[in-house]
Amino acid sequence: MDIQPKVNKQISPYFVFFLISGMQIGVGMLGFQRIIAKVSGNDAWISVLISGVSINLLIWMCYKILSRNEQTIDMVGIHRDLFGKWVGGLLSSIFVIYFMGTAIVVLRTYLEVIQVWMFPDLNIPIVLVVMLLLVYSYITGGLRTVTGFMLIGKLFILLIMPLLFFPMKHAHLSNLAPVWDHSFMEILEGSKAMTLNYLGFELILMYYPFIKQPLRSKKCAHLGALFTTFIYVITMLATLIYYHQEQLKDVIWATLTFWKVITLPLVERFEYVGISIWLFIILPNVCLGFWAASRGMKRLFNMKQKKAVVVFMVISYIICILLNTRQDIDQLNTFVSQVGFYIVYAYIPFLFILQMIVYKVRERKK
Amino acid sequence: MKRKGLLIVSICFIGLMGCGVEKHILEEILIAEVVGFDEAQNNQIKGTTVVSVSRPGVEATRGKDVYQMVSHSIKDVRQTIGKEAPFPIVGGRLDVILYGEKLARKGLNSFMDTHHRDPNLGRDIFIGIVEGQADKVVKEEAKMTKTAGVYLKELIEHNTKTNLPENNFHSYLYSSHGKGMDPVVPLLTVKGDKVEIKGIALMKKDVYIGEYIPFNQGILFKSLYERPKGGSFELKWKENSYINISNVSSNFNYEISNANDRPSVKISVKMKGRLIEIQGDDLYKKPDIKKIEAIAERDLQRKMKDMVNRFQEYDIDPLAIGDRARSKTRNFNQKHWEDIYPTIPITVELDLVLIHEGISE
Repeated sequence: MDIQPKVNKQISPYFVFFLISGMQIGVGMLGFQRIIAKVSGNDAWISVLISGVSINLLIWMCYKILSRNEQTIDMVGIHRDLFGKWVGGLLSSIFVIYFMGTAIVVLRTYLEVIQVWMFPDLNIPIVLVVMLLLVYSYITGGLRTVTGFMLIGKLFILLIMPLLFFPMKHAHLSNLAPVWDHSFMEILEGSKAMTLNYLGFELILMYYPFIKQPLRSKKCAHLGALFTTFIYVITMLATLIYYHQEQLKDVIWATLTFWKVITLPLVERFEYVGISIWLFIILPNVCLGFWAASRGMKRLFNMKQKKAVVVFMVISYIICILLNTRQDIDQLNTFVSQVGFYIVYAYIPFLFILQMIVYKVRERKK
Repeated sequence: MKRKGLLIVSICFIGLMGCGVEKHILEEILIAEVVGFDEAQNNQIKGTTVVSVSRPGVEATRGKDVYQMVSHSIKDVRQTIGKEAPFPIVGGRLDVILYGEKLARKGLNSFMDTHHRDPNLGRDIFIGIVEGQADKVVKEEAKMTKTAGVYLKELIEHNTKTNLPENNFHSYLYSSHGKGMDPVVPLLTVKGDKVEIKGIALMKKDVYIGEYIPFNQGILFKSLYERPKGGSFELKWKENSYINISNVSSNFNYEISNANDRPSVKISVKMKGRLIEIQGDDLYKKPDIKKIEAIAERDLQRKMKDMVNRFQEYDIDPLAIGDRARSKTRNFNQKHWEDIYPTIPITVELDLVLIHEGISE
């Protein structure tokens, strides 16, 4: 099967900015602060910064892996090239399942937010059908449509970010001092907890062939990751000076609780508006997750992508309905993010080094 | 293809209609404005709430009704009120939460947790403690239908500019959770047929200690705690004559040294004031500004120092000195600080400048 898609299905290099940063900022943004602040306290923003920088290193590795050989420019191809048909196929399937897992996690966590914050009596099966239909109609439009949707989602983030200034009338700047009061290990531990929120850039392993002149997109990818870091650091700083650390330990969705302070003449409670807008930020992420998974199926088993999407949707529909309590959702969240952590921080560097060695050996044989 | 899109859209519409979300129609709910909680017998609490009700008629006015019920938990009180109320009571626009003195002396954490947990509540709600029974104040609120809006909220809100420190739900949560600080909330009482702010109730974490700062000294507390732009002080100048100084702006600085060992604290307040009232026999003479400044400084400084020493005596820290010490000390030893807090020497220095004295000499 041809690995390189037709030109009319490709995207311009600069769209990678939106794909990278868009996939990183998702449902985690609503409440990532608590876990990091638990470990590194008032220095949590340094942790956020450090892991954001480390992501850039991994993106650089991804590009190196993808551009080594013109025949292997996506994850399935690389696996087949390095591990052979069977082992490589198995590894690729793990990735496919992981991509689907991220989509499910985002979808279900967002629905949980709606349940807890807005409508406790929300009928999950019906809302899921509606949302999955939306996702389906986007995916059938191809990666181009998904990318466009991602762009709209990012515009919403830019609209929402200035709202962080509303709570600043309660700011206690002294909360940040003394800077670097925690040991380096504590800050690194916070960084580890933070990496989970930066996940999502690894999907470039799937959509790389779709980028026109892929090497030119490198700068955009790094800029995208830096943009995400910027958004997260700003949010973390705002959180730290608004909440007391002891208070933050009890707040599950710190960003949402933030918005409670915003009272406009017409909107008494802004978080309802915020949660609704957030749909446009998470839905592209779900789309891209499903798209990457179904693309993997196409490359692996030569399956028609539309069929693969339908299969994944039925599976995720069932999983979403079976997950009912906060504990279940939390467990799935932790599980998928642990898998993601190892894929990103252990597997990608491993792949990078392995590929380097294999190609050195092959060159010598010649 | 077009037909398919139409199908998807219509499925979405029909689907969303069946989501089974509870409707809230404005005429069919009672919006709670103020709630008060008191201690009742057998470990129960008595909840009293004022709701605004649309009255029927062409010129429909909004009246206020009071509902009261006794139960074990806050949410159950709301449920049980349903026995009497024609419509469900919702708390989304709650403005003031009050606690009776007895309940507050036992600690408010278990009640505050309920409010904290509730996604419907905002964070700009005012918290208050009532001297005596909270339901008296709540019932008073129901009579105050002359002004639009919630009387108690407006009462506390406008005084927050002068004599009360910032005291909404968020700042309560902030300082009751945080280490090295204690919350303060307004203390209300019923006087005649009016509600009055008696002062600032002092708390040790979530427990009301039964002491308060009188209302007219609130500005002193406020100028040590935040940076007020307003409020005024009355000072005795001579026998039977008083002066009044209005605060234009003020700033403070906490100097904390040796926080982990033998700490000492120096609070310096810089204040710009305006002379607005002066009584005395020689009104035709130009008042001696330097002299007034000196008298005011000495007097206010002493009052502030007394106030801070009182806090130490009660072992409470409403000025958040502990937290300020933490922010200025590396590897801050919280426990050591808490142990020696009552004995720390704290000095207050006030620098008052009268920048003008009205439009007459």
